[in-house]
Amino acid sequence: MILVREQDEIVAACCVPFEGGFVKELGKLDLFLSTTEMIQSTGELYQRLKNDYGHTVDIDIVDPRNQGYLFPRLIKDIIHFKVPMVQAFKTIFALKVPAVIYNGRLISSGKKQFSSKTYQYLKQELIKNNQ
Amino acid sequence: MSALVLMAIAIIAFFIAYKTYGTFLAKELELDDSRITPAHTMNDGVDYVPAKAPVLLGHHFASIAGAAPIIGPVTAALFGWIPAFLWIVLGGIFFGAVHDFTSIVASIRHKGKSIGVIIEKNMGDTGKKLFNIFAWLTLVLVIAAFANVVANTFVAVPEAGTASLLFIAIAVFYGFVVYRNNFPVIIGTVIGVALLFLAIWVGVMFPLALSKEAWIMLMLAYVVVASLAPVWILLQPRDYLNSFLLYGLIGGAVIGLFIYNPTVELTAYGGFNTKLGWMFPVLFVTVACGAISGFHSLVASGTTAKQIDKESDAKFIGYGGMLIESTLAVVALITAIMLSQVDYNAFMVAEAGKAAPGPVALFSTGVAGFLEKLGIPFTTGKTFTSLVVSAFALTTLDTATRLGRYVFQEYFEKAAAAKGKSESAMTKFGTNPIVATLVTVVVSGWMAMGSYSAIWPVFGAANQLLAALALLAVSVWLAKLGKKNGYVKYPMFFMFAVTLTALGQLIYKNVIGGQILLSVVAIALFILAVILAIFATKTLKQATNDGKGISA
Repeated sequence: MILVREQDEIVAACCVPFEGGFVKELGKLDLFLSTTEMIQSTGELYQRLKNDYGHTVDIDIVDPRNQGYLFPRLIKDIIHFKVPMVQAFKTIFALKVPAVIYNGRLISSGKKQFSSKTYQYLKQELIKNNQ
Repeated sequence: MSALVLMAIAIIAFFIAYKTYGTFLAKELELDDSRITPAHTMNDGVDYVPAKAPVLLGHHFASIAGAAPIIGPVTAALFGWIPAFLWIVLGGIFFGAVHDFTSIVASIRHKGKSIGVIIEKNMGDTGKKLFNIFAWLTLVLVIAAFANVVANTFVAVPEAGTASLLFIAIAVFYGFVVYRNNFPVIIGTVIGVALLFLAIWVGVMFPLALSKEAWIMLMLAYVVVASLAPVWILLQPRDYLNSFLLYGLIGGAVIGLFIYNPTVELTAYGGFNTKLGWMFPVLFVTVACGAISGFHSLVASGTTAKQIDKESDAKFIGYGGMLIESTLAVVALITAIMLSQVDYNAFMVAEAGKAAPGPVALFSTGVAGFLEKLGIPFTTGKTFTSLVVSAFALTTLDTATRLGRYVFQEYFEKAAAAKGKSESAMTKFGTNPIVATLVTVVVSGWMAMGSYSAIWPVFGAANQLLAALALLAVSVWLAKLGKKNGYVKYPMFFMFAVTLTALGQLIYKNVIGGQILLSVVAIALFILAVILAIFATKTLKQATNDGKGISA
């Protein structure tokens, strides 16, 4: 499973690391407010899944800017899990941040708060796969 | 000789070093996968979350890569290709990669805390205070160096000037569409990249020819506005597009390099005394991030340390990540050494009353040659490469200005708190964000008006001084544990020797050359380096004595 969400930091600025926690401590303000909310939301889903399924569920949290990893991985998952063409296009072209991708299928996209429906769907899929 | 031979030597050397020296370091640091990392012990799914090594390497590399590992090697080629190549390869293996690797491990063993906290814990308040004074000076130098480099680039490649201004508008558009209105990422990126190529086309058709001074003024005005604006308007969307460009540039340059197969034309040895200064120490501060960068310790001890899944991953991400950066530095060096000495000088040596086009223009010309082999027109490739490197530099300008402002404000806040006066006129003045931004930008801008060859080595010295400090923090930590620390201690002494002698020489050169403000900053850094070197020796001696008999 892949959770796609941005980190609260700026990359590609080699000489000046600019990370949310560091900036908050130094500048005493949260510059990445909306990103922080998104991180919290994905964090809650991550914790819930890990608490319920432990090591039986493999979750990767990936920043969309980490393109050297994310897109090759999406393609790999789509091929590996034989995702139907329409679903595959949806995974690649309809991906909004934050997103949940399970076995190459886009489960949730662009919702700042994950619904219980998303969790229930993932739960069913995990039960099915663990059987 | 084919430059691909150098590329092959570097890659083989890095591979062997990773397998041997990297493994030796892992043993010395007693990396143990049964020891649970902070990503697990403090797992909150938010800041602390275990990530697979390839995921983290991608993120870590995007954070440490940028303009400096390109600019430094191109500039250092003035000493000849052999010294520059040797320092990139050997410096990368025995200094830079060790620095990044050990910084990550030290941070992991300190619950993922930053290197600043580790310094405070191991060196007390004095170390922390010196570190803070040093930070503002370094940030000012960063702004001056990058503003100067970008201005020279835009004068030499005016097509990139137009394209970069349009890129800012595209980033703002992307920010509104994707960050505010949640448009699909890939479609947004495809549109963003298409607009970027349109911007390059417009740049080629309508190059904006301005003087270096005009570009610097324009950039400083931009940076004041950009650094006060919310990050989602410009900084975050530009950063997203930058990360895409980073992979595009590296991929295109490396593939093109192998097809182009350039030959080495530049002199092997450019002499001990060059326009930049003496080979020792100036070569070592000029290559900068291509061999070792103190800034990496801040990245290494941030997100990376908090997300390391198991201790052995630190070698792959820290040691391996830096070797990839050194490989990029070798590619940058090749774009310089494939030129004849006359052509190299035409890019790098200023003529009377006229600034040299500079390292980015040189690198862009070289990469454009590689990209031409892939069917991309030369001018388009050159504008694209200049745009990418300038975009990294502009991001650095923005972030450095913001951090400079915070450090400036914090100084006045702490000074007022120490005196028990929070409402004095001076405190209000110093803590005002606009004042703090303007002071930081004006001091930087004044220095940026000077010559590139004067600013870059001083910036490099500040960077290497930060590396020496990080190595010092790791050395003290290991000494306190009673462990061997020669592999960090000797690089630390070397980096202190390099920065002290470099700053001494650069002060003399800048005073003679009439670069007053740059001389003052260099003197301040020199004093700081001397104090830190004395402090380092004392702390290390005490830590070694304290640590005898203590096990890890």
